[in-house]
Amino acid sequence: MGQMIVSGIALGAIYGLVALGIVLVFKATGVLNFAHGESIMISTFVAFSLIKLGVPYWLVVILTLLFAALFGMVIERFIIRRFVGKSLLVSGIATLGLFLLFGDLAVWIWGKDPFDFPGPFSQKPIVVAGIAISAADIGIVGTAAALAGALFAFFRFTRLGIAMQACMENPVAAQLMGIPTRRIYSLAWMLSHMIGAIAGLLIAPVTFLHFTMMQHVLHFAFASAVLGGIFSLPGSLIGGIVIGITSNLTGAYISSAWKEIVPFIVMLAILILRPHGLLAIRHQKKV
Amino acid sequence: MALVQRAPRWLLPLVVAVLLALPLIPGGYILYIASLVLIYVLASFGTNILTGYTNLISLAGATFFGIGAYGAAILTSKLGLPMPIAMVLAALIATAIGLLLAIPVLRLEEVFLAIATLGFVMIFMELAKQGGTLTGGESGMPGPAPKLFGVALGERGFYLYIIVVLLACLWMARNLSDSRFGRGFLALKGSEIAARSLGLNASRLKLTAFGLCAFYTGMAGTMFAPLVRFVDPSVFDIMVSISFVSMVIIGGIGSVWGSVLGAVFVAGAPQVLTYIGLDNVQRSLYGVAMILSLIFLPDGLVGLFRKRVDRIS
Repeated sequence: MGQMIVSGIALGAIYGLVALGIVLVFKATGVLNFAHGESIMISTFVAFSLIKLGVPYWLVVILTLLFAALFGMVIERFIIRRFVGKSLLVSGIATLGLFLLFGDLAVWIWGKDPFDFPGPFSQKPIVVAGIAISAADIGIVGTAAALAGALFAFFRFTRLGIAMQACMENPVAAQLMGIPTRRIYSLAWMLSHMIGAIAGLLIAPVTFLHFTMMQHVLHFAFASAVLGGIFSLPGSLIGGIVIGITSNLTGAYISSAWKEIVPFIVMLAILILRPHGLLAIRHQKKV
Repeated sequence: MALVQRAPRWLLPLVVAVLLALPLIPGGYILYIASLVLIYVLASFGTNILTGYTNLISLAGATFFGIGAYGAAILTSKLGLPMPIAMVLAALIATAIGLLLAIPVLRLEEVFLAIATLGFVMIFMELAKQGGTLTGGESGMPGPAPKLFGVALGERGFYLYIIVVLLACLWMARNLSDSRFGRGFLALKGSEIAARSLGLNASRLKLTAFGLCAFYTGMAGTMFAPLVRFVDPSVFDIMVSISFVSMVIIGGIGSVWGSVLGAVFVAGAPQVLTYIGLDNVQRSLYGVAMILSLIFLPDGLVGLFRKRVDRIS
């Protein structure tokens, strides 16, 4: 039981990181990014190509993050910018279009075969208080926690982070204060893709590297983002962990087939009871 | 559905005449594609009622399509019901399930609703896989053979059957658009707050739109099962929902003829691509077409024609 919960937290931390990217972009630009999973998959494939070239792992991480930032910037600049401020339907459908395009793009470049992907952490179990925990799980949770801490510090203490928060809260007022809102939009997409790339590097060793690897993860990440209230960055991590634990416990105690369903049933149940998610931030609709 | 009134009077008879002439072309392939397109038109039409009137992103299309397809297959094979009755019943089951699902989620804000409908798709796909002998599990089950009053319908017969069902559904929608509901939908589309302040029950209207969407999409599913003679969990796939939404966007939101054009594009383009040997660009073609039509044709393909009509008048 304890073991399932710990590995559920590790899994949930990955969902949470993917959800974090979705929430960041949604808060900043009001776009529900259905292509987020495919972007992560492409970043992870770029990392894979670099590893195959013999680049050392730490350098691969840095180069992949740079690629992800550039990728996010290009998507925002050339596609998304046209849809910021449009209805959720229109911008959501634009990202569905990107989702379809990126899937094919990855198949053209890397093919349809699954690949093994090396992880930075060993799979060796460590026994803590009678619970066997794999070092990889600790590594994943540790990375997610460190990233969350860094993001918190960024939003709380740096000028740029505070400007970004202002822009998410009220873009018009932020612009009047001299904050370059467009550059902030760009930055949100870059940041979201960088967090996503880290999530991709963490999940690819667990699953396989494959062009469909992010589809399930993305669905769970959406569920996590919604559970967290879609406007809350810490909420998305909490939502991810709830989903991860639910999925793991279902797999262990009910049946592995229900692993795919129960997290969504839990999500629907929570949404019925709390229509704005667990960490609800009410945004009243303006007339 | 304004374009029904604005489109030239001769358009519908012309389209029906062309459709009726198609079986004269020898070879079953064209007929199969035409049947598929007509089924997609119905699904696209259903999606359009929901998205066009309420402006909500619903990814639940595959759920209703799948319930329709499985419903028709199960009711004919397990209960031995005749095909037309099984189809209507399966579409009504899809509607009932759609309404049940809609009651709790329609009060959610649009982002939450979109993700909740994504949840439905995941849940129903897995249910079909785990359905045991009822659904045939992962490997699926045979679809019903098209039969009418005990007489086996050939490809041509079933094609004509699809046309009749489609026209009946269109006629129903046309009458509906002139009813209290239709006027209510138009008010809702203009502004939900204005509609509410005029005393319209916006929640009930949205629920009606959701139910109609489930009915039409489910009905499309019931005809898909006999057409391909096979049902498996892929009818519940999220890609099915995405293709319905993309038909509406590419064709034109809130327009009947837009639904038709969108369905022709989405169902027809893969066939053309396969023919010229470009199999692996299907998904990206939809993707690019969706983005381009949002940027350059915000009214969809039907907007091209609409502008011309405006200019003449």
